[in-house]
Amino acid sequence: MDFAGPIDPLTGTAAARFGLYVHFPYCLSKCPYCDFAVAVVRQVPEERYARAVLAELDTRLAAEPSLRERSLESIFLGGGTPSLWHPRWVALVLEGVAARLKVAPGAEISLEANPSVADAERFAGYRAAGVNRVSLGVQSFEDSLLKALGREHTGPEAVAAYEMARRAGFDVVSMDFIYGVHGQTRAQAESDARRAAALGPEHLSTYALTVDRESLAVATPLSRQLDKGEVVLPPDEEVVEMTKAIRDAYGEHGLLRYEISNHARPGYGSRHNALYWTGGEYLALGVGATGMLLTSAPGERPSGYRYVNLRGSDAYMRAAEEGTLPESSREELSPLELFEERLAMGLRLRSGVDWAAVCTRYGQDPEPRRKEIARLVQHGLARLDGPRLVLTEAGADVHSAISARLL
Amino acid sequence: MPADNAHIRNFSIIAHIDHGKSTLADRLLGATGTVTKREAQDQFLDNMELERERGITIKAQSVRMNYTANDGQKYVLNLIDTPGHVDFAYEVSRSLAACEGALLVVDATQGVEAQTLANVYMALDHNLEIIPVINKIDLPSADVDRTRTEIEDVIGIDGSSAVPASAKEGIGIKEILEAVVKSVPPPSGDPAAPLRALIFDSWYDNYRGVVTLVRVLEGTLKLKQKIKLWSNNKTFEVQELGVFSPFSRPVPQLIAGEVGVLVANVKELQDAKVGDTVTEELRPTDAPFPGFKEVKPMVFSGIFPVDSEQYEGLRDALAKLKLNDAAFTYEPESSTALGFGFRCGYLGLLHMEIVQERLEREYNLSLITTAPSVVYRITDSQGAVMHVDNPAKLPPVQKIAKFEEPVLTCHIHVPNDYLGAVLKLCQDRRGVQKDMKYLGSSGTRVQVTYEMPLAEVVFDFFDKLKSVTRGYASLDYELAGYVEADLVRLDILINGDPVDALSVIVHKERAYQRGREVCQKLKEVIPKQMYEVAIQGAIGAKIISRETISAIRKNVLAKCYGGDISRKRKLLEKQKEGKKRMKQVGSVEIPQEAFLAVLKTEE
Repeated sequence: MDFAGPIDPLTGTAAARFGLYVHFPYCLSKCPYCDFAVAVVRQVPEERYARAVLAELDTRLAAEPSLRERSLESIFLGGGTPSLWHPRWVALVLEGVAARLKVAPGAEISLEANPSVADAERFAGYRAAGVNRVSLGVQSFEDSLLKALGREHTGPEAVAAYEMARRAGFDVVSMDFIYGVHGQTRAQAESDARRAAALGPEHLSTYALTVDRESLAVATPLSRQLDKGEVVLPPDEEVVEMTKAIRDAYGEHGLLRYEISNHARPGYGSRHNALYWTGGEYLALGVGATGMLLTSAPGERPSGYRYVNLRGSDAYMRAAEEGTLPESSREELSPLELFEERLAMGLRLRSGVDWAAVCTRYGQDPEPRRKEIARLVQHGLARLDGPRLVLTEAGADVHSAISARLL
Repeated sequence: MPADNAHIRNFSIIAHIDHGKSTLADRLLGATGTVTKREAQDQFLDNMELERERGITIKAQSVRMNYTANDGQKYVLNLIDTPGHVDFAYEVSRSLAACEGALLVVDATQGVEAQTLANVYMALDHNLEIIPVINKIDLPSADVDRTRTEIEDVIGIDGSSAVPASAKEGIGIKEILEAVVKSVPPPSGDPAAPLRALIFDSWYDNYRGVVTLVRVLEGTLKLKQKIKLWSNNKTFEVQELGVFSPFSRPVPQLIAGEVGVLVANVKELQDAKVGDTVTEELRPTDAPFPGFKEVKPMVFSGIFPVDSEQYEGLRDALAKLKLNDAAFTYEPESSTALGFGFRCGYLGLLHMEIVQERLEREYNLSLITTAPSVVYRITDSQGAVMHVDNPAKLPPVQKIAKFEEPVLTCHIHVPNDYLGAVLKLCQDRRGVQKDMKYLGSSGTRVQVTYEMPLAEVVFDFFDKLKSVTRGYASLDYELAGYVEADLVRLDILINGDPVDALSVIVHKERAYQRGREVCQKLKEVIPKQMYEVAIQGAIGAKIISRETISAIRKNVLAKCYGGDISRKRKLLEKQKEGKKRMKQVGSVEIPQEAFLAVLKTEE
């Protein structure tokens, strides 16, 4: 399989320029920290949902026929729990996409899966359907933390699921972890990291638990508990130390931090996620999915729009089946807004971002930012790699504060 | 309307803050039918939004009421409102000068307060007939007899005539109106004499220019009349005369004894100052009404826009504000830390807060105010004298031969139980005791007189006094000149660079303590930054205190995948907006409140 994605010149990161995100909202239970669009149902309408997603695609293509000429470089099936979708319906969706849009040879096609044995039995089916990258939502190997996070699987099950993914023929396996959980010690975070890395995955996404309401799309049970003071997260200093310990443990196994929360073996960074960090365009289908498309001509100052689909699965399916766009909102994006995203997201990457070129491309004056950048470098929060501004490890820990200063 | 002035009564209400003046005024307007129920708006006379919110009267107002008394005759009662705060004592004196009588409102639960007393003496100076009203008699802790005795003992006026009332419950209102008719003398003055009228309030109206409230003492004000202002000899033509009842209503003339509105094409508020005398151009009065004085600011502070792009907006707003506030002054100032702004002068701290709030609220400006300063008198080694209202402008120490500060004579009324606390507070504020006497026969209240530096009083002394006496003490003060003092400038350095806008002048003995307190306070109010921040206090080249703000360790959105980048961008935009409310000094972002923090240190 050829994984050489195009290189984004402003960040030097391999990233898809046009991708597709398909959201599968169904779950067996809702995790208390999750703010994604999720529906917990007894009977998942697997086929109906698959057909609704394709119906939405038809509606979108009818509205924007030029999309048919574009080549998809990545497809990401996220959730929810996409591994609750039988491979037959995943195949239907992927075939349906391929029949309507161009899919570039060697496109990265990812699927998020629950690391339980029941789900893992379907892995071969997904592989056969064309999925070439699987991402397991392990979160932790510690049963006490899995419980705190409301996860139903156990540590050993996760290990078994990882091995089944390999046996199913996945050359690229990623796992998701969460740290900075209430009650978690640094030793536990480090132990999770070592065990994860020792399995030999190509990619690990490792997120500090985000519970504050402001950062979330909707309030979650955990954010409410935090507001009420029922839950106390480890102090920032401790979380920073965990970040460091995790990075070191991954590094020993050749998994390098290529984005604030993502580590990979060289050449295995997620093309699809990199698209979000490098201003790429993405079509999105399914409940609560967010897509972004540019409306500016190539060479013009970029501008475009971002849409968010309905978060209710029934309302979504009805709208899609009726042939209307199942959107809940649409937001115009000005060159300034796209600039802010491009710069802030670019600073998340370990390859850095050619900040001056970003300014020029999006019509912003680089001059007023020079002094701040010199100061960041002087204080060891960033360094310059040629034209690219790269945050150091210390800088990455305060990425938001730095971005807010440079916007 | 009676053509003679025998049926006119001009009176005001003297009351301590919170003793119920505004509520009583509302009741009087209601009882005379001046304000119908539908129009009734609590605290009718306080018509500025800010006044209502703070429950204080800033600008004096006047309302004409028609009242048929028990004797069957119709009277015109002019209620002249007076400001109720120490910052506005001069305006109070002018309002009182426009009256023949005053209602003295005393809270039946609190007794006579020092500030009330000051206003009563002011009223007696103007030969006003005083009618005591014992208010809040509906409260369980009300003690009418004791209050009556105190009125006699403390003020020395007949307490037996005092009217018991509850403005809140509407008790005693009729009796108060009858007392006004019976006890307050009608105004004298000959409508045919040369014009002599007193300006007791003025403000700027966008459509009519300067509007003044006048009391005609002699003669008659007529439309189209050519008038002259005594203090500046400027002449104007009367364009509009009116009365408030309660809304402005035009009248053809105002005769001796009457109170009303005068509009005469005056463009600048400075040309129609409170206390000035209006007379006829062709037939001037032989002498002005005495007691006119220019109100001078006592406290100065810098006002700077947080965003330098708001400088023009600030300048325009100050110009407009100045139109309505003759006591307020401003001139351009520049600070190395804060850029371009203005040095503003105020009567006192309350005045300062009101100006700032109005600027921010009415003109939508985001401002930084520096710590207020009094005006110091410096004599340099060559013998030249200068006045310095800005610590940043202080000459180098070696060039100062004599450093003088303004002092006040302060009269404090306090129940005996809290005397010790008050004496200690005054001592701590470098006060020098001048007098102490027990008031009345019961010996439960004391009046202490101190000479105290203005700088020590003007800031939070009043709040401190209230807190150490649980609100029972009251304060009145007057300027008593300059005295030499051992003063130094305390500078604050942030990451090694002095921030001029944070400098304050302090007494040498307190400098070390203040230096420590200011650094601690700044550490509290300056948020953690991306870099470590060192805060130092210095006197000259000598560092006397230091605090360090450690750098933030973690400020990052962990999850940035999935397409919902808009929300993340908005979070960053919000964070960026938050920075706009702070001033970047070097690499450090300093919030607005830090510049006032030097004041608000705990002792």
